[in-house]
Amino acid sequence: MLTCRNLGQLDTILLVKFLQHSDLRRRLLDTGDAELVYKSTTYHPKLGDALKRLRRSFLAANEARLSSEVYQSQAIEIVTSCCESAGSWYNEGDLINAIFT
Amino acid sequence: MRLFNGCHSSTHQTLKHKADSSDVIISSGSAGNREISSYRTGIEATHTSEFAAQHSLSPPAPYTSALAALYSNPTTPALTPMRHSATSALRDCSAAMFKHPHNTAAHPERWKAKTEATFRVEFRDDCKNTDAAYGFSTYSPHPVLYHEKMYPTSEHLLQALQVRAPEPLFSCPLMLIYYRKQFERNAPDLAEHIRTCSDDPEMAVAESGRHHKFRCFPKVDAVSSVAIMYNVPEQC
Repeated sequence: MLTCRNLGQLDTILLVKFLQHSDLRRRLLDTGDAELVYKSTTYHPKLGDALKRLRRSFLAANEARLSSEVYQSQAIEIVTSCCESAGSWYNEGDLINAIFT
Repeated sequence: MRLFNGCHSSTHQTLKHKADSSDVIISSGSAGNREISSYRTGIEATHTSEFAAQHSLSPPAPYTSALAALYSNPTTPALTPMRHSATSALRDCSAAMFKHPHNTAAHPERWKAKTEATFRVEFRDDCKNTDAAYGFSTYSPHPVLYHEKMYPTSEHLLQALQVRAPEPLFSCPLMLIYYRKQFERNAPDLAEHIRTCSDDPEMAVAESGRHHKFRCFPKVDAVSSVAIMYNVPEQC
């Protein structure tokens, strides 16, 4: 198991969801550097920001992975430590499958 | 080598004379001929004008008659002399319209802002599958596996993560212990209930909110005991 610190609840659920659904991850990366705005009843006002953070961490992890195989652990660190507060854990095998396939 | 494919008109013949012996021209009609000559320079370019002169390219008769009727009308304001005040008012108005901040052509410094605004993905809870932002909302029907338990949507997972004993208004340790004990007594498996109650994320939110008021005070047991005492069917 991989301990994941410094991750809020919203970031936690988004990371779990986008790791388990590769088509959603593809959609998120296809938005490039576009502004993501959540237009709803202000229930999760920070959802757009959390998604942008997640997208940036996925891009950084992919870059680290492309640069060298040695930095696999670093890429996992980048994905799991994308923001502030709280703590949670993930299956390391799932993470590696999600990022490196 | 010459290879001509398509119709053989008179303009095609003139083009054939001017073309180099090693050219390969594949075209299927007069439009193709014009396209080829427009991409070349000099002599070939004159062939289009010759073609237009020979075939007398002009707008069809109905359009020309309508335009003639429009411009021959003596009441048309463009032909009648206008008063000085009206002319100046029109000029001022057009100048103001040009200077208007919404006219980005007049304000080059705003061009970048306008293009940035176009690269903006807005999403709601009810995105369709064809939308670019489908699935970004927490209400989207994508099941999530977390701690070996399957949640119907990520909203269910969020509501289950948010389940905890509320803290008292003033941070008193004894009150905190009392709140936690009452929470364990009233809602022992609230997270599990939120996960399994329904596939609808709105239902998960509603269940979370409905049980929120019963988390720290023993109202649920009091209501049920009264219901048992007076043999009233419990409605909850």
